[in-house]
Amino acid sequence: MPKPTPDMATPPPGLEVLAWARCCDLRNRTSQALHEAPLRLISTIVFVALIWTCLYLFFRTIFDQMHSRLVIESAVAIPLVFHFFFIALTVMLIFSNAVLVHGALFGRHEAGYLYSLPIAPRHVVLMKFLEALVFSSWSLILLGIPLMLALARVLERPVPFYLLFIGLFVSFVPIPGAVGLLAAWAAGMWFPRTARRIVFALGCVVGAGAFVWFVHTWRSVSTTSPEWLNSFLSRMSLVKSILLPSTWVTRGIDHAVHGQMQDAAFYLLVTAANALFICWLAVIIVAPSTLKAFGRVHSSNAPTKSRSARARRGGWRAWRGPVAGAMGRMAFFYLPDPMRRVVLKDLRSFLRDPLQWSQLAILFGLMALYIINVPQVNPEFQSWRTQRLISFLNLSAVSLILATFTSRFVFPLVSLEGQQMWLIGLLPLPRRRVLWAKFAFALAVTMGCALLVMALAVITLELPLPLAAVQLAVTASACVALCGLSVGVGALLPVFNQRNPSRIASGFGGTVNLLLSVAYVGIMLGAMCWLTLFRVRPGTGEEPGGILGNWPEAPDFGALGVVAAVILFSLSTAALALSAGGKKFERTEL
Amino acid sequence: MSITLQSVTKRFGANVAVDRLSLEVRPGELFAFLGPNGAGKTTTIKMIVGLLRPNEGHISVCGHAVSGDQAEQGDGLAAKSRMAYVPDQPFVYDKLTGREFLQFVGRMYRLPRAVIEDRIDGLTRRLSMASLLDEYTESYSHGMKQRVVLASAFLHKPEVLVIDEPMVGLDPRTVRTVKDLFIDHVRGGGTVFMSTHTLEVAEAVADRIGIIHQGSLIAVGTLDELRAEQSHDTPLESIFLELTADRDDPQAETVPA
Repeated sequence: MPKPTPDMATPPPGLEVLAWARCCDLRNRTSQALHEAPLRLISTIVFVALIWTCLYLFFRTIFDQMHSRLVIESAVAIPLVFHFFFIALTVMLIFSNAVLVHGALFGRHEAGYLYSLPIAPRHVVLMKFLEALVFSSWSLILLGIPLMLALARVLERPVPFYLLFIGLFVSFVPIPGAVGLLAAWAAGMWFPRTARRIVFALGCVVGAGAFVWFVHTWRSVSTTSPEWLNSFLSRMSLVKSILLPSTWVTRGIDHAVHGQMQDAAFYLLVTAANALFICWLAVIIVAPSTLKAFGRVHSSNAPTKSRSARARRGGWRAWRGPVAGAMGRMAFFYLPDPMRRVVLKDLRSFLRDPLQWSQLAILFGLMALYIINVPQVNPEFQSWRTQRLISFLNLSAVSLILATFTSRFVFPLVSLEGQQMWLIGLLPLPRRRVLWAKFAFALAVTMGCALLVMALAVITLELPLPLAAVQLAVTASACVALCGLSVGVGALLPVFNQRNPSRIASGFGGTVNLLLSVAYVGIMLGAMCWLTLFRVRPGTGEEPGGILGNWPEAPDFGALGVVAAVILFSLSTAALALSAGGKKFERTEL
Repeated sequence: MSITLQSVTKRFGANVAVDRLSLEVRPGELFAFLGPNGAGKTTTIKMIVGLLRPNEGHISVCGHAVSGDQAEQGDGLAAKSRMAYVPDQPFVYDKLTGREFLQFVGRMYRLPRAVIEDRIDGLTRRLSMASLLDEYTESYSHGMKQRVVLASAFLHKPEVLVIDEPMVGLDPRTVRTVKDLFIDHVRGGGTVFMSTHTLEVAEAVADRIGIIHQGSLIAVGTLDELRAEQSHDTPLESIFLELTADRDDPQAETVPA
């Protein structure tokens, strides 16, 4: 047998070959998109440009308002906005990088293959880290550039400002990214079986902690005092600690805004130096034991005797299935038996996937926490104007949460069935009914959570009956519309060759669905904003709560018409999407 | 020795997947590793290629440790550069063409560009996949992907080839070609360590056969030696069924000889 060709004296290849493969991949994807679906590529670019323009106009309006109306305060408030922006960014980037790196380093297929090649693990770690940074921050760049342009435009800053801003942003992103890399590695090393649960538990703790701290700080400031803003800002000093990377970036931007380029460059160098150091540290800590962590993650996936023993002993695991099944059968009694079985299958998958229900629980949990605290934060909550404002904001928040949830978890439902189409396609059940079953399941979950939160808001804010009824009816119709859209568009633009729901949701179809959902929410909220906040006729007796006029003696038919139109629009949106999706799904060949 | 496992144990929690497994595979030998589902075949293979670490014992490939401290100090990379691994579920990058994937693997093993192209040419002709080589691998059938992955394994002429279920999804002609490739490889002094459920393939090409059951190596030897141990001249299928019969299963006792 001839000795192997490679020359062992030279260092092993890795990074440059991995980068070459990634470049080939990117080139092929672009070329494929240009040749096979140019319309899809163009529409994606148009949608992105549209979002980008809206964001620019939004930020510019905010900065214009701050600049023109609060000349003195804006000098203080704008840095605080950036402090909060970059702190929020830090937390989001840590979590998104941790999730992405965990999947990339400890996934079964690509990672397993790469570790079997003669590549130094540090090259794999570095490559996967860089990929995760790009994946996690491209949307933030989309958000950051209009923010920067709006600020520069309002303050009429020169070109070096833009370069400094980009430099600060690019230097900042790797810092939370490196923390995410360390978190993913630690989860693989010490919590290989419960990594997901740990990440989401941490997310809950961080989110709830931040909210409680903010509410506590807000409540400790008297808003009736003329000095309330300074008092509030001084209590926010924690977010301005010099040890936080967000502070370096904020100070850099602040100095750049004020034309102090030398000071801005100093903070750019501080951020860049720290970013390089922490990235180097993270890679040299993670790389030597990556294979060990990979082994632990994959060892933990195998069934253990203790797990099967627990199942044999009984307990919760033994009886939760039958109980959930019985409850599900009762909840979906109105569906024919085969459809109900599809719904129950989806319900079981949902309950057994903590990633899904925990996100819903976190979002609506935070919303409930805020609603419970509203009376303490704003003692004037019973004034009719405040009630209408808060109830409108509640509806906005719930609608946006619903749009996010349905785009992330409901949209991929049809695509995920692609793997089981050999079963679903042969069932004695029209395919269109499978779609309706998905809709019924999604509607039950989302409507259950949304109406619960809105009912809590109605009770806490002591809303008058007509306003409460409108809120609940519109929320229910929003659930119908958003679930219908996600299921319908999911059937129109499915991704049958992908098993990862997050990748399905982040693809072209998922993006279209998200944009349509946001457009629906925008139209619905526009109508509700006009009805709730602007359509007030003083002296008619409707102000204290009579959103529908003097109900029931002299109802305002105009207002009733708006509510009816919103509900009709929602139902039509769902019907249209489900009808189009159903037709496509019937014809789909797999 | 090409592959050496010394008293290797792998536990998943309380479950012992591989129990004190000791085995030596010589250069120029095609070793077929058989066992029922969940017997510990894939776990053993993953330990040999360094993807899983044994809880106890020692593994080396071509004299280089793939487990323990020595593996972390560079021996692991030296071992990997001398072997090739084909997993049970072949991995290829969807958006690369078959040719680009093979070039990627060749560059990973530091082969000169001309050598890579030359070997790609030879292997693709032998595995009858030249016509599809410049298509994206996402459009390949399972069998075609398997052929690309097999070609990538032979590309750098490894001393040791570790393959998990090589014949799944291949048509009869390609199965024959792959068998011939294995035979040529061992005739040239190389080693093939192959896990399979296809007993006919093991019977036809293996120099030695190991049977693992519930994590323990219950039989190892040439086909004749295994037959001699069972005291009758039977096909490999019967030997396998008899050796791996589950004593808790009453039906297992009725397996015909």
